[in-house]
Amino acid sequence: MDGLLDEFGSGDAQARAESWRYSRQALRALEQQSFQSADANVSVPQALIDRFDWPQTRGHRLVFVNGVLDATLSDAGTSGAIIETDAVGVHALRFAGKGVMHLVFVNVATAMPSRWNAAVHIRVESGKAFLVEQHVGMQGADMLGALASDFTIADGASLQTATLGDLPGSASLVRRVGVTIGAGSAFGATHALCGGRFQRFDIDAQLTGAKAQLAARGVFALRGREHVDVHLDVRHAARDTISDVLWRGVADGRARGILHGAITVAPGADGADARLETKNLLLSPHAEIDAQPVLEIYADEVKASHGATVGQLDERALFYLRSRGVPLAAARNLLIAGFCRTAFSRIETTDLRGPFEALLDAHLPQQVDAGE
Amino acid sequence: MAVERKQIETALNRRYEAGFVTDIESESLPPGLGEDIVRAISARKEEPEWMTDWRLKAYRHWLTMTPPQWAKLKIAPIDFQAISYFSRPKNQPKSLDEVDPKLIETYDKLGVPLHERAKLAGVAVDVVFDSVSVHTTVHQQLADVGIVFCSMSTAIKEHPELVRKYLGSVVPQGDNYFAALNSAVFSDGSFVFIPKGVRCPMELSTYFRINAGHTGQFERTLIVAEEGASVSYLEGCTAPMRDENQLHAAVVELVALDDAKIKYSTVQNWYPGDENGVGGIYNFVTKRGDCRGARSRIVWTQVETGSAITWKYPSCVLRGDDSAGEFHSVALTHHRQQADTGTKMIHIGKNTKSKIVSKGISAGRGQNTYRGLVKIEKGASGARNHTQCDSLLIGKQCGAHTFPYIEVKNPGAIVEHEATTSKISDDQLFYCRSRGIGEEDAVSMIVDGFCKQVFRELPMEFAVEAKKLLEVSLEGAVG
Repeated sequence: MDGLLDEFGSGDAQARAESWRYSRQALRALEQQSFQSADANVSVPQALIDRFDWPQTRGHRLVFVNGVLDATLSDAGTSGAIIETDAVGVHALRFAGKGVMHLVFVNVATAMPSRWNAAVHIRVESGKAFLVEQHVGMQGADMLGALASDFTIADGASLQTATLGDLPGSASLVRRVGVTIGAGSAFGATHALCGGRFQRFDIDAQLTGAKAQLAARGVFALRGREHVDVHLDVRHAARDTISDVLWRGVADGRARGILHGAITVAPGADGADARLETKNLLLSPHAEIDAQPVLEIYADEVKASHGATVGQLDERALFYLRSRGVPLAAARNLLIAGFCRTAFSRIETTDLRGPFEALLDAHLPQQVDAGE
Repeated sequence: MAVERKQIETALNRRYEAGFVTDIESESLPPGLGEDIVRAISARKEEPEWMTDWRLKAYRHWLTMTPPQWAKLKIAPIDFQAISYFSRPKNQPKSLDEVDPKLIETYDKLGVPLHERAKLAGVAVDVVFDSVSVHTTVHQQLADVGIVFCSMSTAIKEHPELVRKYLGSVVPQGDNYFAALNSAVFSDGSFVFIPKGVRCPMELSTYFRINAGHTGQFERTLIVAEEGASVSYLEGCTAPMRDENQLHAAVVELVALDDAKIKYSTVQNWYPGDENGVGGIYNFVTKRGDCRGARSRIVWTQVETGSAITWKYPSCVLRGDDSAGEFHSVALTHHRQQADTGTKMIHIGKNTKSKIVSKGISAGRGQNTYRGLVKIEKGASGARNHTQCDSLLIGKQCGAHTFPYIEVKNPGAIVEHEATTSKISDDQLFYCRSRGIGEEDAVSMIVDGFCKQVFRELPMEFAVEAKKLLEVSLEGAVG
């Protein structure tokens, strides 16, 4: 009965029920289908290849088709990573020094509903690594992907990630990441999550070394019946650690967006500085936003704060734009785009920001003036 | 420094001031819970049959339930069969003169403004001593304007139609584990009915006090304000020192019809257990207000400094259009106290507004949790909520936690939540100390400032008491 929940949930029954309280039904609905193991020997249509074949990441790319590493599409010769695959198909990527990697997860639908599991672990031993993670797919029979990762960032190293969840309405994804951030090291993450039938992101980050830093940015822009559930757990377990989370959410149509952002400051983690902010726009009477910013503090000498809002566009900003001659619908689109793009501030290279902004633009509700 | 250390030690060892046991013979039922006990309670209170059935229905439902586990509390399992569910002083008095002098003395020690003092203070006190209402003052004055203010048992006898109409209409018998338990075995409580268009001429007040050992106190309070009525109700609590954990499971229901206003203020100072976490009250309370009418308004204000365990979420169901709910709270945990408290604001009607101000203070090994739900239903267009939730940590071993749930289903709503956690900064302390203010005083001054927003909402006499309570509760927290 609780097949998927047993598989994806962790902890005891109560912890699972709590963690999945807003997505239980979505998971139940998925369970109604009998998924088969996905076939990896499928040909990837050119249209799909074009979506991830970015010139700037050639030579730095690993492509997984239905969960299996595809040698012909992959080329990671210049990525600077040491790639190892163990007997059960778990991939380990090691970076020492500068490295860039573009991981692509392609969902190619087959005749029957199918699912895949994959595990990719990343270890940054020194220097700075940059990781782009992209999820794409084609419309068809239902696909359910489950991707698990451990990111380990050794003392003094840095890992920046950028995740694009760009799925068709028939694909679902359960993404679990455990991050360990060592002393003096930094972890940065940017997420842009759009589309999909159901997307769940569990990011469990541990700041285990003194002066470790985490900065997470993200946005979900949802419409139709899309359902995105983001669970971000940040644990400060050492002295003088910093975390900073900023999230934006937009929900239109019958979509549902969930952000659970929890900050825990463990006993002894004095000097922690934790901040979390989430702002959401609810654009339709049938959409729903659930925000759950949690603080658990067991140390003093701590600065911790969170803020969450759910609302509409600022009427004054709209008025300002309209008074400058911008039509209502255009003004709204402009403001929504601006609202979301705040989340991309940490993507430093402009040629990478392109795909993010393009994804967002394609998914944001585009309103047309109805001749007011 | 040596002198200061000594002062702090004295303060640390200070005993719970309101801890004493009044020696009055009480007539209790044997410990245990079963249908026979529920029937016995009902029979002793000479209740009509419908009430007995109502209790039994609740009891049967309770049997099917399990205690909630979701709160961030460490609770030793409660043996519900080891508790006596009914206790009252023998020889029920007919007037104040007949009241046992020892009882009066108890109230004197606590400073309850009874009879003359009550009138002077303009407060009508419905005193619950253990489980039976002993005396109600200023009855006549209230009756003149049509207000019913009496104990729940009296109300069941004298105003059964009102009780039947409203009892359980906000918190149904099977609402949650502790509410079901309360519905089955509630001993007494207050009943307030403000008829249409009447403004209650005075602040209504009641003083609950747990007395006999082993006895859980299960009050049931119901306040109904009809169209255009308004009332301010105060509830204050102290309990004598006892070593066993005492169970307390109260239910408070508020009903506000069109344009009605109810303000419910609580100062809770039950025995918190000693510094090692021995003893103390288990406080599991279900409080809920129903803004049933348009433009109605319910304001909860609470100052929670006592109890070993507090589990309490005064809530507002904003059903009527343009109705408003407010929740102002100061919760303090010291030594090994645990509090999991907060509110629920359920927006159903159009243009409903709610405001939440929660201030949590943790000291010693105290664990303080704010847990709140703001839910905007589909039809609640124009709904507005603002939540502010601040925590103050004093010491290295305490914890402060925030668990807000925000669920929005209406695009016309605006919901804002902000929370901060901080400690008393060295800068603040240094500033005060450089001006010649001692450390303890400085801390209490800073804490007072931290809580000001909530204290402002309390009626005058309560605000003074609350400030004092906080000072006493925090003594020995710094050093």
